[in-house]
Amino acid sequence: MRFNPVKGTKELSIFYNNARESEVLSIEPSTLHSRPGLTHPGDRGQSHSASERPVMTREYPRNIGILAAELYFPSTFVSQADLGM
Amino acid sequence: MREAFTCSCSSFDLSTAEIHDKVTEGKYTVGLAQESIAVVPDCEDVISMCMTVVSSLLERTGTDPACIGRLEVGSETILDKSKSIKSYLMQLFPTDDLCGADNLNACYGGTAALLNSVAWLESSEWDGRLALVVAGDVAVYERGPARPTGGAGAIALLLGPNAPLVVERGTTSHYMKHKFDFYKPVPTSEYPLVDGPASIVCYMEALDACYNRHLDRISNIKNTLLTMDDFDYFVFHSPFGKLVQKAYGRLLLSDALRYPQTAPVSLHPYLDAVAESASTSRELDRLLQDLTRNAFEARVGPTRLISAHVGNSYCASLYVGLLSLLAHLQHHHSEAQVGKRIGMFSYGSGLAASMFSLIVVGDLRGLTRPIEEYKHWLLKRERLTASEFEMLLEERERLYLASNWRPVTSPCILRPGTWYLSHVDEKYRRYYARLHHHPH
Repeated sequence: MRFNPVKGTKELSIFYNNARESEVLSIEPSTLHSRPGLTHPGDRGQSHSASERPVMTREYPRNIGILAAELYFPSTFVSQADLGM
Repeated sequence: MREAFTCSCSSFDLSTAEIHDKVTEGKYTVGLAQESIAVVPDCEDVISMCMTVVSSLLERTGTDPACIGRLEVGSETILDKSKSIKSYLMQLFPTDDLCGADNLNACYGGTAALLNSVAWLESSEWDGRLALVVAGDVAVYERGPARPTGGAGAIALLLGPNAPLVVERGTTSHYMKHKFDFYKPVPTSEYPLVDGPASIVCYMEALDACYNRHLDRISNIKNTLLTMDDFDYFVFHSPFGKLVQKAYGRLLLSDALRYPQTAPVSLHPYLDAVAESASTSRELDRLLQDLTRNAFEARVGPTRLISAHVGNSYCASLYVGLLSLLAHLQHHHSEAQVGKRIGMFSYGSGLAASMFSLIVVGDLRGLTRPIEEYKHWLLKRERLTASEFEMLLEERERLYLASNWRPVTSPCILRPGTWYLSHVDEKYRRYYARLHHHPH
């Protein structure tokens, strides 16, 4: 769903809910070892069998990025030619 | 509509019309040197520019300010050593429940704000609202060779999920060092101390490192080898036009060192020497720029459309380039952009640098104003003479530390809807007002 700027908060809550539901990322043990703070308690870096892998799932909202962009620049300028460039 | 405001403005002149011709004809390589730089009159400052860009974004897109949950600013234009620009922007929002603050590291603050906001959107702190990133600066230099490399501008980016232009996850690369290439240690002066040659070496070292690390991170995730040709467009932090062409050429050198077997034969004699040092000879620079000239025009040229006329806007600079590209793309080829990769290189002296990719996953139309509108703004600007510019900067120096003053310049020279500085009171508190949208 595309951000529809004309609609307000209601539209926002719809895409927020969709986003929360739409993507679930499983973090594998190998990833856990390389990320401080996410290490499974009691983990000493030994390999896990499939049955004892720490299960850690996180939901990421999908397609985080730029919905709109705006620019402002002043209404006065000086030409480079006038500055001797 | 605009005529009512142009009473005191000169009509645009021949050279400004030539600017228009250059823009419409797309002769990007001709306009590599800066054409002109934006100048901030005394009735504007970095805060008013940021207020204007926020108001225009919210109004153009019809976004309810209550939908914003994070507001973060990047700037190195210091009007107060404690009070943030973000806190001034709170006047535009109906809520006080709005996280985020100012970010300071030379021209890198906008990127810090962007990366923080993306991290917030992906975090357990996210409450479902959108993030708004604002970056703006006024670049002024003391009298001398650096003065013409000034400029000014502000940008705002509305961030959230399900965007048509996505920040690629897990591939941002960084390069941070302790350097004195550009800094502002004198609190009574707005001007930086600049070591120009050192700054260019720092920029290129940062570019080499960020590019290689970015390629490594993408390769690890996608399990494929990338070169500069995999970037459909490339946007660079742009202190002045020529540095951008040099930077793009340098990516070819990085590719040649990464994959020597694919390097153009003409580069072979240089590869051993450049592997040792970040500085390159003028001869090699010219060769790299010759080898990448066509790609530069297609992939970087459209990012220069606006920057070539507003100059360096420090924290906003990279994003002015992005906006220029997006305005161009949505007008000319909006349907054919899905899947395209846009490389983004951010550099702030001191130093902090990052590279990331934006991937087009949806329709870009409506993301920015059409390029014609920006061209119209450029055409309607008032041109100052060199001596008017010098006088304005002298006055600016005088007012930098002053309290209890009102701008002399009438805000009627600004575009409708622009916020302006109304006055600074005896306690240095700054007050702002806004021009009407519709004069009649």
